[in-house]
Amino acid sequence: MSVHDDLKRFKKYKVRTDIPEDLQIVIQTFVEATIMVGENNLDSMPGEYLANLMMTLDKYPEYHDTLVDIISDSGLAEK
Amino acid sequence: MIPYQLDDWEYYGYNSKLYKKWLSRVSRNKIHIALNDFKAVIVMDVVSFDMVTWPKDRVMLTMHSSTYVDILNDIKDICIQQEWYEECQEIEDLKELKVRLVVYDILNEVDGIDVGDIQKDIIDKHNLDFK
Repeated sequence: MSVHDDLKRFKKYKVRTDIPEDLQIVIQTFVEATIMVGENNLDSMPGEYLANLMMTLDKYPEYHDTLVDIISDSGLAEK
Repeated sequence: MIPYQLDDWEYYGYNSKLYKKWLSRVSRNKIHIALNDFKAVIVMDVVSFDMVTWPKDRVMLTMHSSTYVDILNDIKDICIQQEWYEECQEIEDLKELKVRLVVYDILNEVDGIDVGDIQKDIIDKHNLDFK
């Protein structure tokens, strides 16, 4: 699957509405930032987007498993 | 399982027979000791620690940080069976603390992110201090 296909798939994503509103906003913002990075062929996403996503997930213990997955997948904890 | 051997000591790890034996016989008091130790190693971000030592037999249960959550879950299963719910809550708090400290460390290195609220939450909830 190409980056273009990934972007098309990403653009179709809709954030669930049964989660806290602040979480909906940061997830939507993160998805938009990811699309922006892909469409503009940027090397990386500004750290604030991921930081804001992590900071908001951190507020909700029920989403800590998701947070652990993000930390693990991003390799941030190993740095 | 063949233990790691060094200076006449034998070191057993997670899921070894010795670990399972310890787990099957663990008392409430020993769980308290283990949870106190876990809090210290989580806060100090220790990569591995000697969870239980039998000096007479020169044997140790040594755990790596990648197994801390698994061990806490194993202990929690016992606490649920024994209806030691206070310890169950302590275990959940420790797991939460581990995640929050990692998040704090990562965010603390991102420019423009204020980690003051996270720090205050951790201090208030877990009775810790940041130096």
